[in-house]
Amino acid sequence: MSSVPEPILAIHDLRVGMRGKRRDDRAIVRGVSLEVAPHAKLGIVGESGSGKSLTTLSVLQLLPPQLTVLDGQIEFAGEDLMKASGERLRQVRGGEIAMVYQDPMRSLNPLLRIGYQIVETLRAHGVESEPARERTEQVLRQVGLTDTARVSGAYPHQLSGGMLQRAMIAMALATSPKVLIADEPTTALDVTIQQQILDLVAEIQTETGMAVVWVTHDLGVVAQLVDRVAVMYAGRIVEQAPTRLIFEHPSHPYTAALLGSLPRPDAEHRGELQQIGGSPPDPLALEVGCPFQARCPHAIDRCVQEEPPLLERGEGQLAACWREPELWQS
Amino acid sequence: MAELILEAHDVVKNYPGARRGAPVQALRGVSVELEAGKTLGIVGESGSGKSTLARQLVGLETPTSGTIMLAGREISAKSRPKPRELARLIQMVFQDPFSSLNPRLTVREAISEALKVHKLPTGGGVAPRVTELLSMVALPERFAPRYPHELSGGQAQRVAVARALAVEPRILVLDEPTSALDVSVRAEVMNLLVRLQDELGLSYVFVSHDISMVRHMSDEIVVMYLGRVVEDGPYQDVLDNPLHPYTRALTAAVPVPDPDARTAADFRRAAKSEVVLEQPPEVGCPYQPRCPLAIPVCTTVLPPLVTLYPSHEAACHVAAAQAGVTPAPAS
Repeated sequence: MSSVPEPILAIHDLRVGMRGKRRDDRAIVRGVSLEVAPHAKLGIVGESGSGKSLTTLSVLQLLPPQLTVLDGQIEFAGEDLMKASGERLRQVRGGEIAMVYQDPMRSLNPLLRIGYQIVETLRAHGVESEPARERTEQVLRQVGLTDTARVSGAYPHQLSGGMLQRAMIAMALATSPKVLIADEPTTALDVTIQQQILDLVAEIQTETGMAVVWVTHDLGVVAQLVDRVAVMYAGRIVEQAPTRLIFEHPSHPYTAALLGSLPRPDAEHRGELQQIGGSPPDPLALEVGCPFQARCPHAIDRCVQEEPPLLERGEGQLAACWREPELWQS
Repeated sequence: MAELILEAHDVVKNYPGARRGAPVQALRGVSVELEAGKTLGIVGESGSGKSTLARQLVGLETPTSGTIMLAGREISAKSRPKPRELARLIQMVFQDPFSSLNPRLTVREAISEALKVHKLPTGGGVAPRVTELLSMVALPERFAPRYPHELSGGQAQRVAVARALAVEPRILVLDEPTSALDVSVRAEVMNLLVRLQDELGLSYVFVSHDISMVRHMSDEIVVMYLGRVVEDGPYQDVLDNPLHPYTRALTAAVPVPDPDARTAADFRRAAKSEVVLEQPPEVGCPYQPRCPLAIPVCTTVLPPLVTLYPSHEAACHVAAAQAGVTPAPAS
């Protein structure tokens, strides 16, 4: 990335997968590099199985037990988190780097009151009880849950989905993290509530300067929220660029096809939507060549034989496509 | 006038409340109409009653009061056709094909089962009909022996559509048919649904929170809020010139895949008083606590759904005043 500020979080050449005992390692995330600076908002777009969630889970070493980071560095404010001790990781998790997941019901303990769960998070990061209670009230207010007494005293099932996701964000923000990683936090919510959450995150970010990594499959959310987008497909980044460029001038056929498949307000009513043939490949059964090749209208022989590298295409735009120069540069 | 294939009149659905609580009023008098061969889009937040309405339409539940007419057959608390008869008229396609298909039945078995239950096709063989249904949804014969886990999301949803079509229904209720699918295969399922409608003359009820998909598909749109219809009309009227502040908030909140798009900030903020979501006020307009346009009358009088412009209805005092319509006081 050409931008000037030092990244607060940098992922270098990350590979995640299954460590082979009697066979080769099998990678699902295959060499992902990403950076995000303070005040920046990075979007990671991809379908299920593209490796976007595994990438973010690797940052805090929260991968499911059968998966492991095979290779790569994860640098947080200059510190290599891959080498960090368990003790240090516990400090970072939910402290300096906070995460919010898609389903708040599953991330909260159903048997504990909301307020208690936020206070506990703070206590785990060394805050005394009294200040922790004050801070809890403050962050609940900050996320628009103004009836703090009622929300604090409620069990998760007593709140609506939107309120719960706000409470989750309050919990994430309580420790004033430097990085917020949000994995599809609004996918399960109504659009009106989603809009509130997007506005809220943007507002808080302006105040605190925390960096945001937003994982989603919704290109609309990307357009509204983030300033830079990484598009993932089959475990790799196939395109990365400033948001505006992604929409105006997509450089990878997959990005272009995704944008083309959306029903736009000005499109012909009931007209045929641009279809992407086939379906996303099985990340564990990839063949040689470009993983999008089988679905790509522009594929040539070379695409079948050799996987294209992610290369700079100017203006901070990167793309992994053999045909990019002739197809898109005009 | 074209045939009305579906007509719901003043449908009310109450569910028993928790413990000694009051019953939950999921539908508070909903009336909708659908012309044969057309698509009715139903939008609204969770809790608006859109899925409850869908369940009454396909006969999974019976309304507490009110009447539903499907191709001239009545469904109400008093009278309803036999389930099998109803199934021949109206079928439903659900959000997640992997939970609506039996994992232990192959594609062929899943579709044959529907045919056998209805003793179809009359006088013909089941096998050729299965092949025909698969080709209707553009799945080659080789998919017939596969199990659901061997299918992609798009393919599985095609099977669900084929199974629904097996009994030759006239109406399909599509409940979020693309929401569980990968973004890159949604267009394929949408194109299929449009093509089938044209070929078979089907009528669709399309329930979704994805407003861009609803817009693409629907001829008429109904906007629901807390168990009531707050606006309805042709799709352009409702989505491009929304009259009800709730519809305006809803359309403004849809993230447009265009970084230049600026949404109306005041309507976005309108939805911020989240505490009132489940508990609408006892009197007045249920949307009033969230509404940026509310005037005194909104706290006291429930606005009725009235025609404000030709074939465009809304339940809003402010919109009615702007349209120069004086609504009759709500009963």
